[in-house]
Amino acid sequence: MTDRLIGLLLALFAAGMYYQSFFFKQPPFQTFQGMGAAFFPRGILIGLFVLGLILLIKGDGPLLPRWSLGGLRAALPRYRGVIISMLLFPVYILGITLIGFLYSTIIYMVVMQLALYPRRDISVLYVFAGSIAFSWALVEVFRRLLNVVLPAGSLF
Amino acid sequence: MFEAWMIGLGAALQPHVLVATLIGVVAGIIVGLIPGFTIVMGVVLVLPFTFAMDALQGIATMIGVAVGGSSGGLISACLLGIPGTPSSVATTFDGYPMAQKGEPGRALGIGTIASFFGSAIGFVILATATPPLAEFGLQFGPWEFFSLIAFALTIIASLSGTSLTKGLIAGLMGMFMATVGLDPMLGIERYTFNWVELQPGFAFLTVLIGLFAWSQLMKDVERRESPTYDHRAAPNVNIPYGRVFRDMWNSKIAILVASLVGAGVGIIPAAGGSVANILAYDQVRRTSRHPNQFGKGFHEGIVASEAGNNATFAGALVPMLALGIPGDAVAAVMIGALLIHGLTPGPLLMTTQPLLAYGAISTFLIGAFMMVIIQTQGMRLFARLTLVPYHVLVPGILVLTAIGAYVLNNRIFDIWVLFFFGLVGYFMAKNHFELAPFVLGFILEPIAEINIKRALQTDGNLLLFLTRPISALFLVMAFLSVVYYFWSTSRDAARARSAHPVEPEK
Repeated sequence: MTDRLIGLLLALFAAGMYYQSFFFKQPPFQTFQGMGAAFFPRGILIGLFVLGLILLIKGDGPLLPRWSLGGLRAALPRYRGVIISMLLFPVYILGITLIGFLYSTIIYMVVMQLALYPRRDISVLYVFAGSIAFSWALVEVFRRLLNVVLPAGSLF
Repeated sequence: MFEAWMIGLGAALQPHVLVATLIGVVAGIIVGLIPGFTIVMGVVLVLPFTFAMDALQGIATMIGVAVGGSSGGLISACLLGIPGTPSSVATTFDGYPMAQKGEPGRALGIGTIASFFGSAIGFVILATATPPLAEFGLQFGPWEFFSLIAFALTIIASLSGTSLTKGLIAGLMGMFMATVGLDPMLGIERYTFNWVELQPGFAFLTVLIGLFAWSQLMKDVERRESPTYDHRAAPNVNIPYGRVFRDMWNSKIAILVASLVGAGVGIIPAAGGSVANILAYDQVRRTSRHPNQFGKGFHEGIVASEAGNNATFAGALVPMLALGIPGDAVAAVMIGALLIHGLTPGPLLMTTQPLLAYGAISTFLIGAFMMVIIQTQGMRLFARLTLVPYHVLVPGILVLTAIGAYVLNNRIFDIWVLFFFGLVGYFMAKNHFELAPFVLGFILEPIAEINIKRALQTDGNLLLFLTRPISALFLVMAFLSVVYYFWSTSRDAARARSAHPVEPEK
């Protein structure tokens, strides 16, 4: 993403949040010199708006990045691991909610290791065994030593 | 003050605190030696484990991680040529060439002993500078605190990264994110969009874990510089102690210079170990009698980097303990830990909590002793750990970040917040926005907001920010830091133009 596009988006964000500040509830008493809840955020947002404009005007590159299908395809191998990690993590969080920490962590560890491993000669047995041991150890350490019960999941 | 020192030292020598420090040092060395993992990540990951401990024990663990991590980075720097942490970049300049010449043990020994001396000198600075600075801080009113924060943010923005605009944007975005939730004085909801979960605001630790751990891991996954697992024996890392101690004696001036530079850099907010080790290396090279030997496996080069980066953390603790202003991201995490334990960092901490304040300072030196013993004796094992592949580490670390976010408030929502800030951190890193200004803005916003409101409610005269001497001093320093930034940028541009002159078209 180019600096100029970031500057534009930042200025729009600051303006939007500044507008949103007018919807803050007012206290039932007169605030001193108008220094209500919106006072400080508005000061920050004015600064962000100005800096966003500076970045828009003085930033490098065009306003809109020039993406091509070929360029995206070429970049895909480099970002493959990142995309996989970013897609799997929300699934993992949903899994914790549904089936609990232990089972979702085992599945997550196995899938992530298989997805990130650079070669095909990985031992699936070792991956499973390591994932189960690691997940179980974490649950036990937090439960017995730290008195923290990790979520059991809504399905159980 | 002597009584306070005795209380603190006695508390630091309690068995449960010593064990916590030991665990922290070992964890720190391991985190430090793995390329791509930062000391901040290590401190953030151990933080959830400290919730069940008392405040000093928790702080001792984190100080142990920082001391161990500052030194652990030299192991992969020397053996692999890849810095284990950003604070070990300069160690690769001479540590790796020395190891390549067949002296890996000597390189590792020099780095470890230099780390110890850097920590020891840093401890002296920490112990002598913190109490008087805290007393000075007791004179601060709300005007001074607000001006100090303005100075800290401009320093952060101008020192970190190459763009002042981006540094300021990062700092202000961090401050804006901290306004989400309830107004600290009026209790009015701000930017919660009627989500009950957002009323307390974003948890500081969740933000920190997401920004630093997640974004760093994604960069590592993208880079995939992990060495593949090698079943061959690890390199011979026997340390020749006689030779190493002779090298130390011949580098005594370098140790002192590097430690002073490191501690000085550490005191400045946000300029942490990643800046200190390179600055220290540069300064030692300039003052050395053998400047031409640097970069070719010279022992003073390793000494400079390692003594400098270990002293940096001691410097960062000075403003944290004395004023409640973090000197670097690790100190920022510790402030979060203190807040979780119901303690308010600031000038009063030294007088109202001497056990904690002086105990933390004592722990730093104790940790340094532990580090040098553990690292020298366990060097063979640590050398093997540099070969653990990423596809095993990354999922495990991501799981630990999820636990870290969850245990804070026992809410799944916090794991979603972690993921959100992980995406924010990765986006910032990819577009060359520094993370340190964001984090420090996030921490300092409540202090800034409360103090400016108090100042204006006490006396609405804005000129007081300039007429009160200490406040004026901070504002002038903030202005000068911006001026320095523009001056150094134009100087570097002029040097680049004179080095590569553009020939006129014929």
